Amino acid sequence: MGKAIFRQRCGVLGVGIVSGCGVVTPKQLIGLGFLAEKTGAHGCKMTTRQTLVMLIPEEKLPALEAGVTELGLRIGVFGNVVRNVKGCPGHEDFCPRTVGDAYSLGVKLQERFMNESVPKDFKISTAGCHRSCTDPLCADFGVIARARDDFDIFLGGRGGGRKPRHGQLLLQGMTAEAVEIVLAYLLDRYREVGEAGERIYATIDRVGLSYFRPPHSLYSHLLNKDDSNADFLAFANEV
Amino acid sequence: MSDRSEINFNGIKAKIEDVCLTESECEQCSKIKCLLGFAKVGIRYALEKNTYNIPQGEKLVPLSDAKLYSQHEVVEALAETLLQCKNCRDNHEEDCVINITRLCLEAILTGEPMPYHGNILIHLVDLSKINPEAGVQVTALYRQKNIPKNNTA
Repeated sequence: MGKAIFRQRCGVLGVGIVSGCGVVTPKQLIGLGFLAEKTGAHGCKMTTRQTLVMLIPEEKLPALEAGVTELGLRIGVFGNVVRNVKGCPGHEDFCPRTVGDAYSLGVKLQERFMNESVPKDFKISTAGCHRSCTDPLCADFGVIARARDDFDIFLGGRGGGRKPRHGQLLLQGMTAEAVEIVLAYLLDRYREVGEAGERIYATIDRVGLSYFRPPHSLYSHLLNKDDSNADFLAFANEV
Repeated sequence: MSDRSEINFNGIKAKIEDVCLTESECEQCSKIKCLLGFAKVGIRYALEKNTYNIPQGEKLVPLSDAKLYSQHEVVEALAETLLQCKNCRDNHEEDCVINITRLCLEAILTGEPMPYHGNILIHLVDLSKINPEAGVQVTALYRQKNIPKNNTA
């Protein structure tokens, strides 16, 4: 495990830079441009997992790291840890299709869990509707919004490799807070029973999905009353 | 681009207003307890809230409403509504405002909620099976209105 810094064939370093689900402010974007210029970057690569890889000469690494931190961004992580969260812009201000705030949830999960040690790299993906633009079924831990503050959780997906597979439905009707509790729980179980280097889908094959399903009492107090239509009903009363 | 801004809500709204019996006949508007009222409120909600999703809207459609409307006007409104459908197929959403409006209008025509499988042409065939007369009228109107603008033939 460590930082997402990889030497490239031409000798420069590729440094992964992480924001909240791939969203940056104008100030951060301009700052990254300045940093690229200042560090003599050969180029920047926007990755499939919503990070930015900056290709820089090795001696410029300290300057880049300092600059990234100053911009409120982070250097990515690599190895057998929880990776950055890939999340859709499923937020009330962004995507018009979203039915639940998967963006804020993704940012929150990343802040809390990124870089936690696990038996094998662990990727999280959140989506604000069933279109699932961020491929949550291909993530180790995938979340899909079904309504406002109402999420389904899928576990054990694997997007790449020789044997790609979709995650299995673990729980439905979870609030954002409950998703966080469930993730903390199952990461603990994964650390308990996962063999070194064993991706969670393989652990599930060995011990069963139910091993990762937390007791209902752990999250039941966090579940919503079903009031997702309250806004519409209030609107209907007013017109 | 196929987002909410592409939907011609005003076109549907105008046709639905034509169907509405108004307070001159109903005395008092029962709003979302009426199929037409529900469709009207749904469209207004979508416009004002800048969304096309009505949370749990499908479950709220007042299917017990049995008022009688002019079939001609309902057919016109339904054709206009179907014209705004984006044929989402696998991505069809039951709580989409277009789907909700369709449900309301079809419930008036057929007396029952008709499932929608995300494709207009298949749906028109389904509608014709339940209410052949209305089905033929809606299909004809839909085809007439759906002629591409650059088709001058």
